[in-house]
Amino acid sequence: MNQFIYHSKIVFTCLFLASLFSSLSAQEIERKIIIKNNKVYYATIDEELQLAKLHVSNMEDPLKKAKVLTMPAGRNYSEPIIPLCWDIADKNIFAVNFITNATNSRILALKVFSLSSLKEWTDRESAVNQLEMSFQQNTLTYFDPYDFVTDRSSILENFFFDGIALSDSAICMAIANRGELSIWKYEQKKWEHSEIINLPVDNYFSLVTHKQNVYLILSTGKIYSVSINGIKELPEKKLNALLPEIVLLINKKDDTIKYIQRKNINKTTPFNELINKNVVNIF
Amino acid sequence: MEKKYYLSFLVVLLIANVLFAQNFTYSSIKIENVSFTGASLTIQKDDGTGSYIAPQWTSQAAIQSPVAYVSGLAPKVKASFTFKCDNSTPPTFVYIRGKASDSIDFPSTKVDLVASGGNAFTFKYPETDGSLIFKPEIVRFFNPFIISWEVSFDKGTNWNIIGETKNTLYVTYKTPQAETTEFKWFHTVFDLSCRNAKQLNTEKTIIAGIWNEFTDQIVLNYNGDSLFYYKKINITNQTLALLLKYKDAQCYTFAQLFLGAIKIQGIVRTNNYVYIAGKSKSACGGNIDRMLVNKWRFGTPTGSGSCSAFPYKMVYNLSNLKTSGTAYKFISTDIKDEVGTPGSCTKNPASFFANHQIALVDGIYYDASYGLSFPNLTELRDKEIAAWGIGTYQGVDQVTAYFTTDLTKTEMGESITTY
Repeated sequence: MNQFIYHSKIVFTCLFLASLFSSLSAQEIERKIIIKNNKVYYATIDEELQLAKLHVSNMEDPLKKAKVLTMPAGRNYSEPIIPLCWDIADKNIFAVNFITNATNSRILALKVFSLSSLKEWTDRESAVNQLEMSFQQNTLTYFDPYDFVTDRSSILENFFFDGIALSDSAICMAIANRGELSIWKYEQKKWEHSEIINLPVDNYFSLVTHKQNVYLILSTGKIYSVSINGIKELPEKKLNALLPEIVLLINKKDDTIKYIQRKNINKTTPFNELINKNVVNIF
Repeated sequence: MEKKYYLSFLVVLLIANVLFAQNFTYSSIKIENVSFTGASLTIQKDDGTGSYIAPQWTSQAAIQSPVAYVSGLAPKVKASFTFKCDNSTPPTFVYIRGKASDSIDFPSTKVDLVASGGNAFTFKYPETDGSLIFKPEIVRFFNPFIISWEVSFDKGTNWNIIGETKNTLYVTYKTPQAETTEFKWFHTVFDLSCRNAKQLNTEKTIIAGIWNEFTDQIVLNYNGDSLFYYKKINITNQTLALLLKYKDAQCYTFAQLFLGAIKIQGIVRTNNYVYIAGKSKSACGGNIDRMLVNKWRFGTPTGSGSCSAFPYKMVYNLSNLKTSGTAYKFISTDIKDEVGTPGSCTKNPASFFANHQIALVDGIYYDASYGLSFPNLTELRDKEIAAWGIGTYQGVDQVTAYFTTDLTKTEMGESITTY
């Protein structure tokens, strides 16, 4: 009898731990909601194809009513999960196409495509075609940060990255592996990067911009100001939540960064009502 | 004289037995269901519709559900029965027992009869441990695990067989590693693992046993169905769940299946899941970003003028390179695909890739898609790869790629994670 209890305890403990690590599943909002030109944008991932769906709705509409577009990029389900790295610049969308597929080269994963080029998500067959095309089209530049990290260590452990668009052709990225973080900037067709920063992370992080500064939000809620010159913690800005529990609200119009708890996101409530009640300011 | 008494005694005994037995007939007793309980492990259905639930054996089911335990534990069962008793007063109780595979007994237990209307009755064998544990740290595969159920109406003096219940039963070496988003306790993972590692009792032999499933390039699911490596060359499935659901998938899934079959035995190995691709080296204005897996026939190179180091030229439309599902379609090419290295259940699988996924266990690289193993990546490169390539994307849909058969142009790079 004791043996049964002992084994059951192990199994249930393992299942509990697994559920904690699997906090981001399909159909969940990937990292953030972007508000731009009075439109609301958020991304989810198709469970089988791994392609991202870009949901677009009006401020006064509930998120559920969003029009769904196919994004020629996506992310895999390998653990630990790195949520889709994506951002909207002026007319373009920047994304890292980290789909696991034997024809998707990681070195070609950095993509930029115009928002207006996206087609409506119709059926699986069309999406499969988009998937194949996504691997070779729209490459912004080689994914040097990934090359850099894998040159330093072939073992990927606590490997995470995120990036944001600084303009239609410039991006900033943060990439971490085995306790080493580096900040990268791609501008005028050239990469620059910071020194290696020793910063252990054990879950994903997100980058945001505010007043042309870039900030790194760790899963613990700690916030750092980052650039290729280094990082600096902003203790006064710490989130009162863990990053996986929240969705960032990036308002491109008024340049504000807020967040909403995932549990408070009701997709049937008009979005402007939703964010009137439940959001917390960061910047 | 003595003979007379003896015969009379037999006649009396026979009459008594007939009188007693006319209250019911054994054939009217029916096993309704059997549940395996205790620390039985959850088994996920391959089709992704959830897990098998108790009762794992029911009289109505054409196919019974599988069962799994960790070694060192005893199976635990409960069962329900019905019977009809015509013409007379039924007994108020009976004794039930089960005799199972591996000399495991489910001991005799007195159970009360409950009237269920008319002349029908039910009785339940309560949740009971088997008399023996599955020997610790030995993998077992019972196909099937049989329980022969017996009933006694005379307090255990005479026993009569009611019938047998049969379930496939898996016993794992140790407690399986926890489920995650990408690793589930799928039926085929238990089956492939325990089927190939049955009676084995060390990590080394269990891993070797599991690997045997892959070496003949015939990987089968729990039902004996083929699991194809690129039955269609445009297949997109890349997770273990999708391989088991659709039975046709990419390299990632075969590496996951092999590693999953190890994890299900509770064997822990880290840094075991290896993404490989040619190390990105620049050439001819691009970077090495693709490879061809054997076998391809190389004709007269026509690309030397554009890229002398990668002289074999290939031009194709992205939108219809693989649309036929069975063969690549090029606008023009110096290289043609031929039947070469077979993959699981496929003679000539897809062979034009940007990367490949394999496993690394105890210093050996296992390529489960092809059933091949290697001591290092150089050997893998030299045996599996036909050419390295560089692609240049042109316009809306067209790609021009250049290839070389000089495999020393780059090394095979690796990114290692833990599955």
